[in-house]
Amino acid sequence: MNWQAKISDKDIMLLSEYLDDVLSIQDRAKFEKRLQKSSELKEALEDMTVLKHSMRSLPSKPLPHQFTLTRNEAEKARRGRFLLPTFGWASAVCMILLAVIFGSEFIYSSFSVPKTVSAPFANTLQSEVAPESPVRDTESASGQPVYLLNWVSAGGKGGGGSGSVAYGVGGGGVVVQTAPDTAIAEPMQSEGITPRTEVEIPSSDEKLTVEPLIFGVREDQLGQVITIEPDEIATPAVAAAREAVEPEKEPIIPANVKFILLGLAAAFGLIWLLLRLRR
Amino acid sequence: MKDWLFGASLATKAIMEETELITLAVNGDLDAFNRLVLQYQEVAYNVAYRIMADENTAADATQEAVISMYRKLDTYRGGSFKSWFLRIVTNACYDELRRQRRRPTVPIEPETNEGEMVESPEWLEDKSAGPEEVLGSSEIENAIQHCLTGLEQKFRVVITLVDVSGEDYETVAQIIGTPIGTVKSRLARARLKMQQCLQGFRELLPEQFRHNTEEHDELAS
Repeated sequence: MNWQAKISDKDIMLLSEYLDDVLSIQDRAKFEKRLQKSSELKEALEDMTVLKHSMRSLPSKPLPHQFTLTRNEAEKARRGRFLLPTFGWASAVCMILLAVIFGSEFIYSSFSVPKTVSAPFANTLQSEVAPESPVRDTESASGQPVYLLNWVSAGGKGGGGSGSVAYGVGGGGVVVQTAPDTAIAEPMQSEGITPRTEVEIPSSDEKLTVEPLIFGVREDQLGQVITIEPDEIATPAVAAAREAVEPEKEPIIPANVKFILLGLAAAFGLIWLLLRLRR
Repeated sequence: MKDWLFGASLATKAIMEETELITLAVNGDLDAFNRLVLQYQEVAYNVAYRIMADENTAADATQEAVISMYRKLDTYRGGSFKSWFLRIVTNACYDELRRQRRRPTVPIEPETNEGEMVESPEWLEDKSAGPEEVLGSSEIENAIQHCLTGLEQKFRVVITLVDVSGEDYETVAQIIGTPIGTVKSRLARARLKMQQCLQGFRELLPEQFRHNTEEHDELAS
């Protein structure tokens, strides 16, 4: 058996295939030519042939018993037939459901608008209630009262076009009189524009049915200039605004359901594993 | 010519009968299933025995395979029933070997009062491993089985199916679920390893083996 060191792995494979007669006609012819020339290959072939015959002639072991199934065994086997795949699938379905729930919640939280009022949004709300103005900047800071326009609840927001109402909120066809605005009225008169000084308050019959969302409107003082103490500006209005913002939404799927699913997935998986190990 | 025709018609009849039995078994006929088992149980048990190298575990693996086959009957998609059954048998053997690896058998050895194992030659003796032991049994079968057991599982399965059971490469590829090229290379390596192992038992081997090894010894000296 000195051929083992001299023959390559490829030749051993060719020898093995030649022995089993699975080489193609061309490969077989080529290999036979090489066989005639190489004594190592010949020797290896002889040894392999002997080994193959020895293994093939191993006596068949007598059966210890018949392996056929009785009615009871077959019934038992049939019962267990669906058990393993059922638990396996059940566990997999629970896991998939959990993955879908967590995935959808992640996507929902990533791409939807924030549920709570963020700082910039709160500032915006505050500025709508008490818009930026020299009055607010100077007087409120020093503890002086702030004059606000109290608009009728007639839809729409937006400043008036002229300078006299530039810092007002609301539109809606209601003319309001601002506080001491003689300084503004004079230049207007010089330009030939007559500032309106009359206040037209619509009667209760003309009230719109749809209430617009304007923070800080005081129904009892409509059309009047009201004075709000500095403390009143920030806190109640913003607080009201914050309250008006929709409350934090409940998660789509309650946490209990998630826990139940997780528990089921674990239980089914465990049973599946135990059944599989028992087999 | 007449004999050939007779043989061919017998084979066709056998195949038709097998197909009929399979159909009946799939439809829940236990007798038909048992007839199929009777047809292939010997091959199955012998393959299991050569892989497991133990009669009891081979019997267990074969029985498990039969039960598993009964459960999976509806998944049988045609082709050779024998190779499908042998595939289940080899899988059952793999499972059994895996189970053995998970729960290795612990030899019952005497311990001293301090809890240390007694290292006497009698206890350390491996009665089935040494070539001399196998030689003593004067059976070439034991030598081959000894070398077969020493092979890696993947080589053992292939050489058992091809050389012991006589299956062709394609069937073996189907049984173990690998390409034919893998079967070829594993078989070549398995045969080489068997040759190397059997050198330890050269006295048992046929004339041809002895002649070559003696020549080799002469050359070496």
